[in-house]
Order: sequence, then C-alpha cells, then structure tokens
Amino acid sequence: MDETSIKKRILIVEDDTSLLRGLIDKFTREGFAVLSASNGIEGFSSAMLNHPDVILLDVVMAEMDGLTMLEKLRAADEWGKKVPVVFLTNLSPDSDAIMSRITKDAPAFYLVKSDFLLSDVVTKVRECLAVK
Amino acid sequence: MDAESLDQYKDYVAVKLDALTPIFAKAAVGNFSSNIEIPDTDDKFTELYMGIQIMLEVIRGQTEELQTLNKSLEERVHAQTHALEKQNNLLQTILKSIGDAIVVTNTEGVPTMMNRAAERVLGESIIPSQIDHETYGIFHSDIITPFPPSELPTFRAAHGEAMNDVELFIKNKNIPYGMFMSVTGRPLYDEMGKLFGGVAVFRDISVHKQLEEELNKYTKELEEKVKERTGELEQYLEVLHREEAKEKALLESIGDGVIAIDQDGNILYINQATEQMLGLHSDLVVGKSFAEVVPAENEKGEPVLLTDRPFHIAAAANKSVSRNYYYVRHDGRKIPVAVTASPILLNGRVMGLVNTFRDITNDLEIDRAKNELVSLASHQLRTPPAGIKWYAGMLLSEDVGPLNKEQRAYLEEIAFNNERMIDVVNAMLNISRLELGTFNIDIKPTDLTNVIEGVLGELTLQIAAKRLVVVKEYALDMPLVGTDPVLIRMVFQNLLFNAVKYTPAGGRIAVTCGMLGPEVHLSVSDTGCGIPKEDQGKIFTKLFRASNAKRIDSAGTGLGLYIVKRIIVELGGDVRFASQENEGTTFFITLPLVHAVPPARTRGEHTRALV
Repeated sequence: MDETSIKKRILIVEDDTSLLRGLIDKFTREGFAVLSASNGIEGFSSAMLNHPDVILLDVVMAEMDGLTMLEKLRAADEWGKKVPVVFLTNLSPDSDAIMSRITKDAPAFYLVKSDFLLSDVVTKVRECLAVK
Repeated sequence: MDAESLDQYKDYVAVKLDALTPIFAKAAVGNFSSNIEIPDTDDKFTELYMGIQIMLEVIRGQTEELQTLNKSLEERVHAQTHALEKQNNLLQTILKSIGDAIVVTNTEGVPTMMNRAAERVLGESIIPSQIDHETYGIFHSDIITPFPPSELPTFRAAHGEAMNDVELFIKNKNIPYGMFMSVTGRPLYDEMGKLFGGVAVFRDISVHKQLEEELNKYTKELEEKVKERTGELEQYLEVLHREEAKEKALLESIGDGVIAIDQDGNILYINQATEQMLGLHSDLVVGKSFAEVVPAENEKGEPVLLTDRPFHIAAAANKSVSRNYYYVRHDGRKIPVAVTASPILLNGRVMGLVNTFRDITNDLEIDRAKNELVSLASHQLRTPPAGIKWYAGMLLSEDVGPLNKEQRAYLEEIAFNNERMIDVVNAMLNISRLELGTFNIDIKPTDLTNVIEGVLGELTLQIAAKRLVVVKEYALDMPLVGTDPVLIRMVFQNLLFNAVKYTPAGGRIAVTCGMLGPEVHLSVSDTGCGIPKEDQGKIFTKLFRASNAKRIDSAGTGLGLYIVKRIIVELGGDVRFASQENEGTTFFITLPLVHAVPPARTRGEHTRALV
C-alpha cells in the first residue's frame, strides 16, 4: 500500500534536547522519516527545503518561536499554506495568541506536552495525516 | 367929553379901582377869600368886577382842590410811611430776634447795625477800632489761632467780597466758654450800585460742631470696629486661603491627573499632574472642549467615540464610570491611562464632572513582566516532567525492551509521582495567574450548559467505569451569561472531577443550571464521602485536604477548591456548599447575568497572558 511503503516525513521543531530525542526516537520507531530542528529559523528553512508531510512545532523557542515560524510558513507558498502543524507546548491552552493562530493558520492543532504521552502525540499526528 | 365930566369920570374910576385895592392886598398874601359886589351898572367895570370875581372864585376853587389833593396826598404819604414804619419795625424785630447774629457794616468795617443776637454775642469785639489783643476773641476753628481782622467776613464783605461758611471761634466776656460760628458775608450796594457796606450773618454752629465732633467720634469708633472686623475677616480669609492652598496643594500633589469638566464638556480645571502627563498648560485649555483637548484611543489605535468616553457616560447615567484608554498628547505620544469619571452633583443635578486618571504605563509594564514570569515559570516547570512522562511512557510501553514485574512497578511509581507533580504545577500556575492578576478576564456571552456538557464529556470514561448516574437539570430558557468561558470551564472541571472522584461506585451526580431573578444559579452535587464538619471551614483554603478525601485520593493537590472560589469571586459571584459526611456534598454557585469587570482586570490584546 502506498501509505505504508512511503514513509511519512515529519519535521520536529523542539529546543529541549531531552524532549527532542524522545520525540525523534518515538517517531522513528513508529515508522516516520524524521527531520528535526531546534529553533524556528532552522525549522523554517528545513521545512521549505524538505516539504515534510507534517510538522510538530514547539512554541517557546529562542531565535524564533513557533507562532512566528508558522506565520512565515503560511505566508511562504502554496505548500506552506497547507502543511498540517501540531503545536507541542507547555503553555496553557487558554492563551489567546495561540488560539487565534490556530484558527487563523489552520490546519493547526495543539497539545500540552505534560498532558500527553508520546504515544498520544503519535496518534494525533496520524489523525492529521489521515485527514489530509 | 368936558373937563367936568372928565373929573367926574376920574373920580368914578378911582372909586371903582379903590374897591379892588383890599382884594388885591389880600390876594398878595395868598388870601383869595374876598368877594366883589357886582354893581348893577352896566359898564366896563361891571365886566371887570365880574371877571375878577370869577377869577377869585376860580382861584378859591383851585385852592380848595389843591388843599383837598394835598390832604389826600398827605394822608397817603402818612399811610405809606406808617406801613413802611411798620414793616421796618417788623424787620427790625425780626432782625433783632433772629438767632443768627447779623451785622451790617460800613465800608470801614464799622458796624452800623447789629441785631440783638449780634450785640449779645459779638458785642464790641468786631469793631475794628476796638480790636486789641485782650478783648479780641475771634479765632480760627482750631480755637487757638487768632483770626486776622482784615480777614473777618465783616471787613471783607464791606470791601465788596462775598463769602460763605467761614468758620471761626468766638470767645469773649459775653460768651466765656466760646462758640463756634459759621459766617456768611455779602457786600451792600445802593440804588446807584455803589458799595456802601457789607452784611454778615453769624450762625452758631456749636451744636453743629458738637454733632460734628460726635459724628467724628462715632465715625472713628466705627472705623476702629470696621478695622477690627476687617482684621478678623482678613484672618478668616487667611485661614480660608491657607485651607484653599492646602487643598490646592493636595490636588496638585496628587499623582493622578484631575480634570474638572462643566456640563457642556468644557474644561474647568486641570491639576499639575495633568499638565505634566499630557503636556498641557492650564491657562491654554480652560474653557475648551475636553474631548477635543484630550482625544482618546483604544489599544487598536481607533479613536474613542464621544458617547463612549467615561465623562460622557457618567454625566448621562449619573454615576461613576471607569475605563482604560490611551490619551493622545499634542505631540502624538499615547499614554495608557485608567480613567474614572464621576459626576458632581448639586441638589441632585449634574453640575459637572471630575475626571481622574492614572498613567498605567508602569502597571502595564508590570503586568507584562508578570505575564512573562509566569510564562517562563510554566515553561520551565513543565518541561522536565514532560520529559519524564514521555520517557517513562516509552519504557512502560516496552518501546525499548521488555520489563520485568518489579521494573514495571517501579516505573509506574515514577510515572505516578510525575503525574502528581504535573498536577501540582498546573494548579500552582493557575493560582499564580489568579493571584498575580495576570489572568485576564474575558467576558463573552457564554452558553453554560455547553460548558458543563463539555466537561462531562471529558469524564465519560470515569463516570462509566464507576457506574455513576448523572442527573442534569438545565433551565429551558437559559440565557447566554456574560462571563469568562475558560474560567467557568475550570470551575466545572474542578467540581465535576471532584464529584466523580469522591463518589463511590453506583453513586449519583447532579448538575443544575438556571436563573433566579437576575442571578445565575448553578449547583453540583454528589452522593460521595462528604466533607467532615471540622474540615468544612477550611475547605476553600490553599493546599487543604479534608481527612477523608486524603484516604480516597492521596495524590490530590488541595488546590482545586481554592481555585474554584477564587475564580467565582473574580467573576462577581459567590460559592457555598452543604455537606454531610458519608452522604454527599452540594456546591452552590451564583453569578451575575453579566459581569462588569473592573478596568484593572481587562486589558488589550497585546497583554494577554501567554502562559
């Protein structure tokens, strides 16, 4: 089947090395082709270069935060407009800034890191890809 | 005619003429009383005699007439003289008895007439020749300085001068105590216009003078009293001024801007703080329209309509109104301000407004700093536990190898404790936001039943696992409530999670949502373990856990109910409970239909908490 033979490519943008390693390991084991970046600038160029199928995006990062990167992505090109993005963050879900970004820059989703296991994150990512 | 006839005629004539001689003799002495016998001879002498007789009679007649005339004239003159005399007497009497002293003098100033008063009062003292230092008793009204004789009114008038109200003081043997007099003098001219003297009228003004003195005394007293009173008033004024100055100083030293506005919206007064904050000069803005002098914008940079400005609303609604805006200075700089406008009432009518405002730049800065702090804290506090959770999770799901029983058990402990820590961190962050006020209250029309259903949805698994019965009573006509949906959701999450947690299997949870008058009434009840009486007083306090709750769930944070209470209070409501140990608990919540948030708690988008 096409879905399983072609690995889905995921770009993980996360500045915490420990969390990043966990994410990379998990998604690799789950059969994804994993790209990673540790800040928004790196993330943006990697995204534009590699056109991943889905992006897992941390919000609070130095250099360029996740919200700004998403904004740039959506403004960049046709692909940038459409690529699904899942925010992985420690910020509470009632932040206006995040909520408005999510609605404005759909498709975008939101997960609080400490509320979910990695397996839950994988599930969510697969949901996004299925919808796509 | 012959000689004899001639001699006869001569004798005849001589006889005839002789008869006339006595008549002429009498006539010569003015006696015309004779009569001539008229002879009955008819000759020239008869004519003559007749003529003379007639003449005599005529003269007699005329004399009589003249005499009569003379008599009547005499009588007339007599009468007139009499009348004149009478008049003169009258005048004299008047003059004599007139209170004022009247002196008529000749051109040398020597009195030719003095009335009684003058004689009495002046005596000889004004006769120039009699004036010597001893008897001269006329002084200036200072009583001391002698009045120069040549300046006496009598003298001056006699020399052709007219004068009025010359004041002098007279003291002589007639009036030993002295007398103040006011003198008026006039020159006298005869019928040719020639000056023949003068008349002076001396009036006793002693009484007048006394009155004058009394008046002076009175005036002085009055002046002193007025001075005293003025002094008192001045003192009082000074006190008032000092009070005013104090109040003004107070107004001026108030760090807040104070602007007084009249009913027409024009500026009456601005204090120093206003001048400084807005870069205005009091003199240049008093009288001008406040809305024009101080334009206001919202955080988006849009101008605030006049009808939305606090002072306008306060005047119309007759109550204090507070808002947060930006005031725009003349130099274009915008200052974030917290404004309160209050109407000034006089007898129940709005006479004007007082606008006080504070520069909240600092406050906004502090808010931003607080927000950043909490953001940072939440990020830092949550990252490690997230890592632990993920790795423990991967280990437990045997992603990287199998686990034996003990390894599994220990890893589960790690995961469990980590979850507790995550719970505490979450609760603490919520509390920090509540307490720091970085929690922005965003009032939106909220469908409460929706919120409740959402929370119940999250609990579906647990409710099913414990076979709990859920009873819902939602009012059919429940309106949208003006409150913060996110915060309300947190309240329901806490209460419903507790209800599920502390109710044993097979128990019952009930949720009601409705209106009672203008208030929203909500309740969450359970048939759980209840709150022991001795713990009920502390149930809303931070970190407190009732004794029985600890037995059921040792991992609880003790923060949930504290958060519930804080939120409800912030939303303008009230929360109470009724509980019986081992029977159940019901929480009652009331909320206003629309919550009016105090301005300090609402802010623009740019300061929303990013936590």
